[in-house]
Amino acid sequence: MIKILLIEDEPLIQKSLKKLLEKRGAEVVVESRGREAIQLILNQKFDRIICDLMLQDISGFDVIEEAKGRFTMAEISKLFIIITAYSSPHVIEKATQYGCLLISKPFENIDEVLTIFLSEGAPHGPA
Amino acid sequence: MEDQSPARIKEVKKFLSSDPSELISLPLKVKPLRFSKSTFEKKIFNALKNSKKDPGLESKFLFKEELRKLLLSTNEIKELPSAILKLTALNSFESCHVLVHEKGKPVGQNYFYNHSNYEETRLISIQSFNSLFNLVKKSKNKIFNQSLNLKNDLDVVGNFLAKEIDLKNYSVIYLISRNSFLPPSDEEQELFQSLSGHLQPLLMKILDKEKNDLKKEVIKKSLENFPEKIFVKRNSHVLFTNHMNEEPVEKSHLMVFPLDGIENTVMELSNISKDAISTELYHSQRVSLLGELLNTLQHELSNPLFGLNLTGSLLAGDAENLETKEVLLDICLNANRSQTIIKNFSNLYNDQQEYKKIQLYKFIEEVITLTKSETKEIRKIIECVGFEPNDPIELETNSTCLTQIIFNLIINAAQAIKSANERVNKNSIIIKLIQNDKTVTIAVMDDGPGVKSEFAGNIFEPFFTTKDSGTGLGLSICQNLARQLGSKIQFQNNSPFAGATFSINLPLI
Repeated sequence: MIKILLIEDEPLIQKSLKKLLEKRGAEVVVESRGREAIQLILNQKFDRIICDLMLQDISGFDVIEEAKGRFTMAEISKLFIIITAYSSPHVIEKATQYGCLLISKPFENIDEVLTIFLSEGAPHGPA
Repeated sequence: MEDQSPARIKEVKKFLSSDPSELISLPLKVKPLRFSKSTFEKKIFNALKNSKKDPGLESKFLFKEELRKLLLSTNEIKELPSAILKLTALNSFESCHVLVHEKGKPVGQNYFYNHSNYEETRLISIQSFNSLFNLVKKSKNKIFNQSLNLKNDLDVVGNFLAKEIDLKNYSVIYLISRNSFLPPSDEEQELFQSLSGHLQPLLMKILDKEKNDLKKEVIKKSLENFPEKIFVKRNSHVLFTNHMNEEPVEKSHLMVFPLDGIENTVMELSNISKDAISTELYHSQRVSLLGELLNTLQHELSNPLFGLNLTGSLLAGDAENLETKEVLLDICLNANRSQTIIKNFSNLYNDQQEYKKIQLYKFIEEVITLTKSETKEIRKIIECVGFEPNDPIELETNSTCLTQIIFNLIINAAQAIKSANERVNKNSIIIKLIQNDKTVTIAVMDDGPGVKSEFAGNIFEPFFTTKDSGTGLGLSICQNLARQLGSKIQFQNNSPFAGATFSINLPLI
């Protein structure tokens, strides 16, 4: 079973995505705070980390930066998927640096996005 | 003229963001700043009084007198080396250096003078300056010789005396040499060292003055060459202006900026070139503010709305009760609709320079949505001439500019109708889209009172208004924006019918 960490601080999005992913057979751990998420990333094993950029305490990029302590850049680019409502050129450029897939909220096609979340090796680069 | 305007607006903003005290301390005419002698003299005498040295009354008096002259007559730092060498007590020395480094700057200045009347100013690298400064600071007797690795920066032979002075914003070293290996006498050393206490206030004055003069000169030059009239006033008294001999400007053509932190003092900017710089300033501020606001709003609303939509559809899928399911689907639909509205709004105010394709009919519909609150109860009819609403009539234009123009024209039309306040007219705004050969005309028609013939020549002028609460900038902004789009806003009264029509003509793709 694929184990997913979902870092998202909007409660409705968090709950819904958790439910939708669980329906498709994933095990989902949710976290709304960045600092706690970092602890989870460093101490547990996940197959996929879905990370919002605008968290209450720190930014999603800070979380990814901390993950460097455990993973190589190549691993990070496969493990992380960034979701954000602020897809400015600056954000897209930064996501490109990490090689992570970036998906803008609101999702245009939810089924498609869920499939990407559950796929083994996510396609690279911002979408 | 248009190309320069944004730069000018930036300039004005820069003036306003600089220290306001600099603006009011600008002299009306250029005159050299002199420090007042009385306070200065007091300082010198105090310094001399406290001096503990007693190398004989006569020479002491001579030294005092000479020093007094030096301190009073030196106005520039480059005069200092020669002034020091001219002191009788130090006359046997051959050359003098004064090295100055303004803290934080990448290079220092090296001022040099010798008895053959040779004067020179050179640059000195910060590395050399610092190593010399630290060396001098650590030394007790302040006697050095050329064996130090400083040949490239200092032209000295044999022994030399040097002393450092540490000021708030500057580091200074002064240095005299005989260009021989003859060691300086104790008396000379003492005098030389005691000099630093006297030079310190002088250096502070001169260096700060030079720096301030330069800064003031830069500000003054740019204000003087500013194309519009500028007045800096305190209590209506002119402290500075760049147009000395001209008539004062009419109140209505002035923009007034209060200077923060200084009471009763304002900077007035006039609009003499009739190129509506103030209009543009006002407008660019408003648009950027609105753009920022909409952007923030979009992002802040987008997340919770997406959450609502997601949860709604999830629950609707699970709901067994049909009524519940429908309500949940309605919630999704409305969340989606809100999302679209806020997205369209911020699209209308996106990057101002961008030209993009717009679908004319859809575009007008969106702008009408924007005017909803202002035009309540007024019917708005879009009439297409030469094409059907569904025809893809496309323009390539700056949608932010065009939105502003059409938005303003519709608001104006609504206000005209409200001001007429008669029941006879139909109360409607007709937006006519007329497709010609290669252009399209967008006309906004109202059935209000129309424009009085005596005002017809003025309505596009900035600050002209007939409304009690108007700024008089709306139409002049529109005209400026139209010019940016390479067009012009025309107007005519609908006589013999009621109302007026404002129109703009734009090229089709």
